[in-house]
Amino acid sequence: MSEKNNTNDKLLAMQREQGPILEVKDLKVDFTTGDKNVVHAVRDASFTVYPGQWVAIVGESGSGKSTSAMAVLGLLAGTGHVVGGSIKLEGEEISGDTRRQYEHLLGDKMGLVPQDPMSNLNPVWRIGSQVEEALKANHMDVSHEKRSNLAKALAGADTEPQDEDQQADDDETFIGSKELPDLLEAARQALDEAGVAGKKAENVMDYFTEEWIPGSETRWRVADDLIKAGVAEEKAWTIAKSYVLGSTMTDRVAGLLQEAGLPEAATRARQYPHEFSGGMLQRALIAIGLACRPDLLIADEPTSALDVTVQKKILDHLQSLTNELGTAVLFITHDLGLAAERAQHIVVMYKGQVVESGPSLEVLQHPQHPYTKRLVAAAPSLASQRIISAKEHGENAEKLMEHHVKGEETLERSEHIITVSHLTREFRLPRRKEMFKAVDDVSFSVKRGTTLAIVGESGSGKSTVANMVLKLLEPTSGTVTYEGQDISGFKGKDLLDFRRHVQPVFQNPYGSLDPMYSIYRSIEEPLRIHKIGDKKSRAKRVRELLDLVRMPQSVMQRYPNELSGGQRQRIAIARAMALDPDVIVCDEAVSALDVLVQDQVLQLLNDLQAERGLSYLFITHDLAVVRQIADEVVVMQKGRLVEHATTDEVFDHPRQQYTKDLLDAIPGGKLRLGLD
Amino acid sequence: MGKYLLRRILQMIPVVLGTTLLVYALVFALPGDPVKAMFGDKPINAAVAAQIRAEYNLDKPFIVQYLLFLKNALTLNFGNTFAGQPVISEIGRAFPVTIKLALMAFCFEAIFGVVFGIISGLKKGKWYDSVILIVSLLLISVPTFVTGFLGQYFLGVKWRLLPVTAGSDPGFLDLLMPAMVLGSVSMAYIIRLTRSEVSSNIAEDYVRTARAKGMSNRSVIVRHVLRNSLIPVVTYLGQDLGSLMSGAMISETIFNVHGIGFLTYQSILKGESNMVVSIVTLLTLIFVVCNLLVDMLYAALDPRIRYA
Repeated sequence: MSEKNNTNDKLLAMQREQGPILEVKDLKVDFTTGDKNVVHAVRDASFTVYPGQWVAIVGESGSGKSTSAMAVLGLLAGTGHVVGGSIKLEGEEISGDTRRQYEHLLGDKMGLVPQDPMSNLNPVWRIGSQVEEALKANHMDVSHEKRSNLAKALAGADTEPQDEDQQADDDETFIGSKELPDLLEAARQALDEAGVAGKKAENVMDYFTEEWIPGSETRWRVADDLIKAGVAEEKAWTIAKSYVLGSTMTDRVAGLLQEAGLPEAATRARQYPHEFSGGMLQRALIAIGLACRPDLLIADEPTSALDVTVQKKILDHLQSLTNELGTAVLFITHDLGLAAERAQHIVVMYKGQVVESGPSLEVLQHPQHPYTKRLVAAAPSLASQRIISAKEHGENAEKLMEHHVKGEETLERSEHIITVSHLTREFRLPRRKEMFKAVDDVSFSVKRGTTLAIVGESGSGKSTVANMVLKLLEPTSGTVTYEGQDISGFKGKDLLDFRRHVQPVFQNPYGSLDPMYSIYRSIEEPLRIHKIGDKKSRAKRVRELLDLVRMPQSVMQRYPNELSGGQRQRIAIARAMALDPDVIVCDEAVSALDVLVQDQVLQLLNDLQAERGLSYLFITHDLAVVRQIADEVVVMQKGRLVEHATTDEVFDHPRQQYTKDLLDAIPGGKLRLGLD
Repeated sequence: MGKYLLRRILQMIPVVLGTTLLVYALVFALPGDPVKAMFGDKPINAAVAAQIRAEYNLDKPFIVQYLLFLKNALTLNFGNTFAGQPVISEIGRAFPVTIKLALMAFCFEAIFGVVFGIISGLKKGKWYDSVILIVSLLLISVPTFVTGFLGQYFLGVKWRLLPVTAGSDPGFLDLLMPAMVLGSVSMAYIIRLTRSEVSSNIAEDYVRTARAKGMSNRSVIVRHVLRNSLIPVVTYLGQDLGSLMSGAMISETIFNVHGIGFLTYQSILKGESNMVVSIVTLLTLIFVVCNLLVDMLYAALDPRIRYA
């Protein structure tokens, strides 16, 4: 512990001594739009990053946080340009630099890990060659590790300066894949001589095989590992010096990818981006961002396109890597919880301005600016309780249910509105004999007027279940019943009737509204299809629905591309509500939205449930959202149902390891807050 | 891959059969009697006419004529023209000229189309871009025969830079103007395609990522903008090679190039069904093979495309 404190002190002293690595002062960025209008995207923003520090810029989309970061990198899109203020990198003004001057800074001084992993790698080049480009562009020496200035300074303070610089450099030589087998053989012999044998020797060798990655592990580490395993110091160094002779470009690329957490990197490097998952692509981008060991890494929402579990793994990895390398990180995010968990310092931006900045916990516990307060309140990761209206509605729903039971013709209605039993769905994979079970024997039921959430990572089969409940996909076996009737038998009029009562809201609000339809037409369409009312009464109904989702009636004549993501999702909800359904299936309905908007949409869903007694089947990968809305939770993993309980139970006493992992992955979940 | 290739090749059979049948029917349905036409102004000798009809199977029903043609075609015997020449040797004389013309047009449109398109895409919005856009629009909207006559008048007659017509055994210079006219419309399309691809690719996220690596502007453009932009252009060019071979009819007629297009036109006028159908069969084959090559090329250029 004391050693750690010691390092921390040293770090702080070093930071003070070296001065900030990045100093942005009164930065102003303008965009010129088509008709010569000027949009002030960033106004007088100031922030500072010290070596080795994580600084987070937090704000909603459009707050100017990414624009500020891109201005620092000199990579502003389109018509954007810096119109005022200063950007200093290591004390030197760079805001007026030309593109050619920036080429020298990018890569080896400043690196970027961009936001959307799917679009940030060129689909026609192999992953490895895209990493290689970064190394080649900066003329990196691929056979030796380059240490960041901070790491050098820290190491220098740590130990007495070693004999000569040359010596120290040689110790940073990488293992080459050619010599690796010989190196391992020599290590085994050395262990024999040192008297390490049997099971222990096996374990040590396994450790070596795992750790000694060509292009990533250095000579001094090999020597260090050998010494720790019991080999005499002199012998260890002899082995390290004779078998660790430097890596090739291919080794180094694989080594970088492996460091970023990509398994079997040497093989993976030869694959193309479309053969990678989102998480793997993001790891490749991290490898690229860190390839030339920059002193400052700008991570622009590096994980917001990923599942929470993957997000945690990647951020953990990024954090340990940057700590090891002594890289400072400017971390852009819209999630305050995430920012507080990862960064030492938080800068809050709103409408192009920095409205608050300070040490993370300080900002979180005593937010000053009203906007920060809203962010703190809205961050899903920080909500320790379900939304209040949900609680209220919980009672309401029960009342509603009692009411329903007393009503006529409802006597025979079951308590469960949707029941799913032993649902299984298989898919045929290309070039495979055996079928792939996307959903495997899943059973649960949704109680009337309540919310059941299905949680799981992507690929867990949760959306497949949703599609089967919506009868958009036929199950291989098992049944779905609605109001006690098996939906597989529904045809013609019955099916139309079922569609009327069970409505979907899908994940992507950009894709689920037809861009050629006006908002009015989109909402009116289901009424028209089901031949409800005449033109006049339908127009009235559309206005009611817009009120219901708290949208002004003036949007009726507008088109989806004129609305924001949150507004579109409201329209999608209004459309789903048009036919007065009993059940709404929300497939990741809020996942694509900003936290503040997400919060508003969740509130809306809760209120609608309280007012209308709706039942929700809520599909999500985000447990933080579940806590806000669900009464019951079903956890799915690899197509199987692994846990089913009430929300409080799942959060307080998760039974499965998988559920615990999911809970751990909620960003900021472990922060303690002094909120009032 | 092998399976895919085999399937594609097998698919060619119904395509070729279908086209030949259709063309045979069309030529058959043409008004006018080819035998009568042969006599011209002279009185028709009924016995001779009947003999010619029998020799060329013109007295048999349509479907029998077609089947007989197919049977002979399988043994590479495409019959004779009414003038008694073997069809195959007529085509053999005209085809090299057309290939020469098509390849010249192809090089012209590929080189100028891509180069102007790239410059235009990189300098979007500048005066230079506007000029290229207007010129390409003009080339697309003005019919080939107008461009052809304008070329003949200015380049050939007024300034005497190039020969006005090509003649029967044309050399490189003779074919230069026909090739430019033939390739001009496609060149305009290629300019526009390249321009829109370049200007949309340059705004891609991966281009920004490449810049963030510290790569020089030149290598960013070459590796990440051009490589991606040229995929659709190359596939367009491949397909266009097929249409250049067959679409040369107008240019060949204007410039009096004795190629396939010229031959087809003459044969249609004379009602030489054997000749027309043979040429069309050949062109269909070229077209289908070009298409297959384009698909293969596409898979080679874009790793996301895989045929199974």
